[in-house]
Amino acid sequence: MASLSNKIRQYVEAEVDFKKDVLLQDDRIAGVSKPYIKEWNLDIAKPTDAQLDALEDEANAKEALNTILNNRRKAYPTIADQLDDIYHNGIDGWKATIKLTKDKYPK
Amino acid sequence: MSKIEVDKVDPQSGTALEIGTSGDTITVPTGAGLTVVDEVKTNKISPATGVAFALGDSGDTFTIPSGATIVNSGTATGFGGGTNTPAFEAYVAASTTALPDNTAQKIEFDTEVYDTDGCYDKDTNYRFTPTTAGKYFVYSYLYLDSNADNMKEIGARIYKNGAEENRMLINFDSGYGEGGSAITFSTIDFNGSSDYVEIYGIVDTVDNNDAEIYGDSSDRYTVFGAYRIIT
Repeated sequence: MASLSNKIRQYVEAEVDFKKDVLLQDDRIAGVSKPYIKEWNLDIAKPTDAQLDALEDEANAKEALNTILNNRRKAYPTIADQLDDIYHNGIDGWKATIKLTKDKYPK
Repeated sequence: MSKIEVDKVDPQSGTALEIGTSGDTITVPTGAGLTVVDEVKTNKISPATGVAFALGDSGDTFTIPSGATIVNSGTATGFGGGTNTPAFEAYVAASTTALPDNTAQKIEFDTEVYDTDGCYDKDTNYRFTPTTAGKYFVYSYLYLDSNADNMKEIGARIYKNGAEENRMLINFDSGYGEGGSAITFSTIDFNGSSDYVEIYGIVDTVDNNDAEIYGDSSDRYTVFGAYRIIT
């Protein structure tokens, strides 16, 4: 199930400041997690539950993509190692190194 | 001789003057005052009658000089001291809660270390409602864990009566954290009846996945506590 934050990003079609523009809260009443919009400070209208539910697939796809990008980020060599790679093996050698990670975590 | 009327008694010789002998009682009766302008040395001061003894009058100042020590073996009242209660501390005993991305979630501290007056609800609402009015020091630290190197920010917030009282935040910038402790604390006034506080945690993950509120039954990673401040 997609996170409420990501559904809102999809609805707004932009990055959202969740410290000012939109505040989400989960009071866990009776031990049940049910995140909701506590404050909506954007100019566009606050979405209904139905509008957010309609963005479930889109938000799930975005989360899957973000997971891939995060996995790649963690797997890439450090910038220092990449510069060393370019120095010793040239751009083609460096691209081959980077491709290993991209192939390991395909989009 | 039953009565001597003089204006002054001085030593017959030298500078020492002694009044009475061991076992004697020297009495200054009610209504008569005894004024000693300089130093009085004695080993004990006791009430003349009854058990109450007053030292000085309103507005007087008594100074204990540097290097002197007061030892109290009895009961001291009215000095501004006392016990820092009600007080409690509780922690999360197991990592069971998924913390959604960018959502302030109430933390369920389910195990008490102590709760002096039974003011903390560890079973249902996870809130501290002290029954004595006053200022309290409220604190919490939350170990938030992702196991994915995906945290951009973590935070802990104190909520009073359902409204955010303060927020503290750790920003990992582009380093992205795998786990860390968000800490918050504040001094808060309570009315001693309906006022309560709760703790909320928040995390911003780069991949928008949930984080974990880390709990442990032996080590206290995620803790909420408060105690009354003596003012």
